[in-house]
Amino acid sequence: MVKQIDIIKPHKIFPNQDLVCLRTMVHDDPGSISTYLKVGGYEQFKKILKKKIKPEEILAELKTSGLRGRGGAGFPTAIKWSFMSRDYDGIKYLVCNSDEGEPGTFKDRDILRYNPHQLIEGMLIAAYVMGTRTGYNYIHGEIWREYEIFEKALDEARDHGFLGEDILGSDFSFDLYAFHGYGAYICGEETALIESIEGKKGQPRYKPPFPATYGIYGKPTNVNNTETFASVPWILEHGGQAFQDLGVENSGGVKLFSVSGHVEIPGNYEIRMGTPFSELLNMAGGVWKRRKLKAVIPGGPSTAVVPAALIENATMDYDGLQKIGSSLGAGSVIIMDDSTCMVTALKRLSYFFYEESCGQCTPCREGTGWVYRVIKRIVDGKGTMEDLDLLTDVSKKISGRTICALGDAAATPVLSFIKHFRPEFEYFIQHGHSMIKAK
Amino acid sequence: MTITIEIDGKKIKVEKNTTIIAAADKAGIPIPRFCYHKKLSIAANCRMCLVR
Repeated sequence: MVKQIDIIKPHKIFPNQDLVCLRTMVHDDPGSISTYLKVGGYEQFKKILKKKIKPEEILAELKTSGLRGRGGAGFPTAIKWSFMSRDYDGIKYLVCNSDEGEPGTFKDRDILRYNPHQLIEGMLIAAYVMGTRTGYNYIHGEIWREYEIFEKALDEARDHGFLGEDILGSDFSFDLYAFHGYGAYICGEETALIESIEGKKGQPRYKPPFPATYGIYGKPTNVNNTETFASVPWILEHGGQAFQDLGVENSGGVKLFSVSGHVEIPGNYEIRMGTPFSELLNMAGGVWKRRKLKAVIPGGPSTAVVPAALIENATMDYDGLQKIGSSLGAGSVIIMDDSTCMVTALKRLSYFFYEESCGQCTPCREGTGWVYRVIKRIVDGKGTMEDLDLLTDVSKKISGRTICALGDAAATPVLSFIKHFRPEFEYFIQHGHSMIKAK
Repeated sequence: MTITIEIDGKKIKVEKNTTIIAAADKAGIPIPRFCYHKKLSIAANCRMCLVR
């Protein structure tokens, strides 16, 4: 096993974080089953089995909670779960999507690391509601230690009788397997993930049919994000209304924000939906070296960049970020200070999408390559003014013309960077170097 | 069974379950394509025939 890396744990500095998914973090040895049982773990699942609570009641509670998919799309979880037919008596699958691979996202990693049992309990409850017997947790290929931790957690859960045949003397059976991916960003797209589990190359499927009717091996499949599943036990313990009350209208509960970039204390912050951005920035210690804030990518590189002036008064929730022309995404807040050159930053981001495009659809395969080459041309000092229009044109022709959302994700940063920081691009083209002096 | 559809303001009669690309071919309206061939399974990934 890899040696534990010492990371700063924000909860030690800010004990007033509302911990839901990372609630074991305030204890020693947070990832073990004994810690999770101490904070009331597996109690909800036991209660459901003992009282034989109807799935409809659990769904109603979820609906009240306002929980939305935490992977980025923000689809209401209760509705997604209700798509799975309970009358279908063949094999059904449940999949947890822990394949976070976007630059700046690291929230699922911390759930797997510090609270894997809450995820297992959440998946058990989901399996009970949807009547599935088999589940997979698709873990990103580049995180080995978390995969090992999760395998250990699965063994612990099996030893305590929470997984397997006829769990705790009931007629409910469920087994969960960890599936280690190979590190492709595209496998975070749910149909590509399904293809990958089947052993094929990870390329998205044409939709419809959606996974709820045609998923793994053509069987009904439900795919949810790690954080979504991990929120479920807390909701059932405290009630849906309590979860909704933590957040704001349309965005219930708390959310993990992975703050990275130019801040003093990067890390995961679990805060209430609707918290002002300035408060989150303060929690992260402010912009590093007392520098000025320049821009923020609030939800990971697939969401639009926002200049400092716009985000300073924004609130961190689905509607609040939509109002300023961006979106919550997976909550990966990337902070950029005034020493950041936006042109080179965009070059790095577009390289990521160029590298990770699966190559299935022509607009994305060719377009991301062209976008990267044109930006590289500008950075190399060979750009022309027409290149800016060319970039916008190519990006707009990728967006909305591909099978999956990677095409849109690749176009968003290009369009928003040029929209908000056009003078900086023009300066770079005219002078052949950045207008930002290296500090 | 035949149904009547309209492409670019042109009314045409086609068999039910005909694909749009086949209907447009029948009406003589060119839709560019790379990966489509009537004897192959639908791949739909060159995105060339995307229409509104």
